[in-house]
Amino acid sequence: MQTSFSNHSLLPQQLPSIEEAQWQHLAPDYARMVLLSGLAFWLPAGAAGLALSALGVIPLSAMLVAAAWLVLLIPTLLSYPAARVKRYAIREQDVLFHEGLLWKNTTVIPRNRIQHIQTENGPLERWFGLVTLKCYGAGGQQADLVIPGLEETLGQQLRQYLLNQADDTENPEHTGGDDDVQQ
Amino acid sequence: MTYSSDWHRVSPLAIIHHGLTFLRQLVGSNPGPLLGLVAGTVAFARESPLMIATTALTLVLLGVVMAVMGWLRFLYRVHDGAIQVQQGVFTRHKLTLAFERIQNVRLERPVYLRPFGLARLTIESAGSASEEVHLPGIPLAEAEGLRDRALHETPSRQAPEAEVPGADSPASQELLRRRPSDLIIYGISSPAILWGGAIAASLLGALTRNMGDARNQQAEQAMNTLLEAMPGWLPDFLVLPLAILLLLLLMALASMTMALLRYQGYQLFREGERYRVTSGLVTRREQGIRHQRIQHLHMAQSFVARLFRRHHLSCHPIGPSLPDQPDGGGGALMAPSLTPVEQARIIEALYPGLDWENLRFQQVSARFMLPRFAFWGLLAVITAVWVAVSDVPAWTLALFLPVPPLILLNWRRQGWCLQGERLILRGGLIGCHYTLFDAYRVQTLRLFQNPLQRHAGLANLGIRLGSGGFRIPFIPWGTGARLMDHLLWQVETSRAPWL
Repeated sequence: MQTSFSNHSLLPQQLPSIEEAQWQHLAPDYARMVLLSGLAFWLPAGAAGLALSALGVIPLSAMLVAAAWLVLLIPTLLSYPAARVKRYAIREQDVLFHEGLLWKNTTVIPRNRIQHIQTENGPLERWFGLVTLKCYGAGGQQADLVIPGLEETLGQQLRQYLLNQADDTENPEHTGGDDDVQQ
Repeated sequence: MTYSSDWHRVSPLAIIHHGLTFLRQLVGSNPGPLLGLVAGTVAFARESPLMIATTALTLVLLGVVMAVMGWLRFLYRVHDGAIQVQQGVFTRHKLTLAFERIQNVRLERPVYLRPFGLARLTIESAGSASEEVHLPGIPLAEAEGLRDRALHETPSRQAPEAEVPGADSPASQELLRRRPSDLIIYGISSPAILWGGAIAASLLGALTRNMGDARNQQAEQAMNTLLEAMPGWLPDFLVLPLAILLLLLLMALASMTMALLRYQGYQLFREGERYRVTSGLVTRREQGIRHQRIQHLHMAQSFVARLFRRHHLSCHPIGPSLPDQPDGGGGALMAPSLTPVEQARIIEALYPGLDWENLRFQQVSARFMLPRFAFWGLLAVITAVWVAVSDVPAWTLALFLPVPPLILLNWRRQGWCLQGERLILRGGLIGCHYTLFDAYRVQTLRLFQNPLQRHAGLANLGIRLGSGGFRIPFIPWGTGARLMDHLLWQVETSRAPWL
């Protein structure tokens, strides 16, 4: 792909490129968990819908309900391959996350811009022994970078590793970090 | 300057401030429930006026008691390099805001405080809105002292690159002054009026639609009365456009009044490393921000502003980016209706060495227009079908005629330019707006593409700063990736204070 973008004056070739990042996949259990949580809702919902239509409570034919259910099931079924393509990379200076089956998305947060870090795990994640890592920058309300489906020990290690940098003197203007460490 | 104090109360006049804020919140955010309440009360009052009177009296008394309690329990002090505030009647909140974390200071002198030599001080930090400190009704001298301290205090671990803010009283240099004529232009061309016009037009549209409806006699009668009141020489078909024009004029007048009230006597000063703006006719307002705190610069231009060749400039500190508000948009420092010369001067002050006149912008791919054409095309097809099957007049289709040229224009406006360490984004429709920031202010980068874009080798680059998010759409994927690499390199090698 040739572009009109002049490279030499602006971007030295030796810059590290996001294309060369070493990507890590999420825990294999994560895709299973996502699929399971989707099915845990949609299977009973479909059964209930069919039962209601069979009993004549809702005035729709069973075929129609089944068709609607199948259509609604597609996103859930797709969540499995979608979870499999999610990946992350921890580089010396930044954290990357990539996701998307069709709508591809790569997010980067430089490590010296991370204000605080959070790990979360809900009941289902605890069952699978997984955690979600959330990195927050300044000035936003939502997490800037979210890496789900990390094995618990790895997640805690990563959090500690990234926190160490965030508290480094490298970041001269890092203020208010005192209360960010406790989670 | 080691100024420290004991716990203080603000002036009792602050109760007025709390009352006004409460009223504004009640009316401003959602007038619906309030109107319902009033209507209900009126209906009920017909039945039993005495009960309403007692209820109202109780409520008012309760409100006053709460306000007084709130005032009594609001305490502040300056201690250990921080402002501490205690407030809350039932739940006590204690907030400590260190001077070095302060982003933005606003000093206001509303009419009801001015005769008593009092002022209202608002202090914002990088955090959320809950970390905002309002000190309504403190002596002016004290407010000024706090302001100066907040704007001069530098973080203890200051990076070497940051220029040392000058002595205690740096020389004040006037950068900009606004005459009433500038403010009138601002009033006409600010975005608020466009909204007003749109609302007025839709209201009129609804009215005329109702007229055709035989069931709605009232609207027809009203319109007929209106028509009879019109001078006889006025052709019927002109009534509607004239009415819209009249409404627009009224809106313009209101907007101009607002602009004059808000920005009368506008002056922008540079004092060493900080900027200070004073303005306001009724409420004198003074706003200060340190140079280092400015995350990005935005230059907006509506199509009316383009006619006057003006731009409205705003400097945004860290914090969630709020849409244009009448009071300056959540901490942003405004410089309204700048001529190209004034604009160049201010940009030179804020971003020295930027050759604003000779920036060369990179175009985005023409495929940028595809989704827009698809959307409007679909809408046009639906309208065409609608015209065919029902009695919608065929001229509605003509409304779609200006769309293709506008889409083309919108595409031509898109552009970006990387000049040294600064990134400038361009956008707009008829007017042209710009966003300018230092690369090291970037917080998060996002490269994303949809399936069609991937097929064409294109991507969008999303850039989030502490002060808001921006997007460079439809650039070649390779360019996006390299731009991302470059910005990351800038961020990660920079040691400049960025917060």
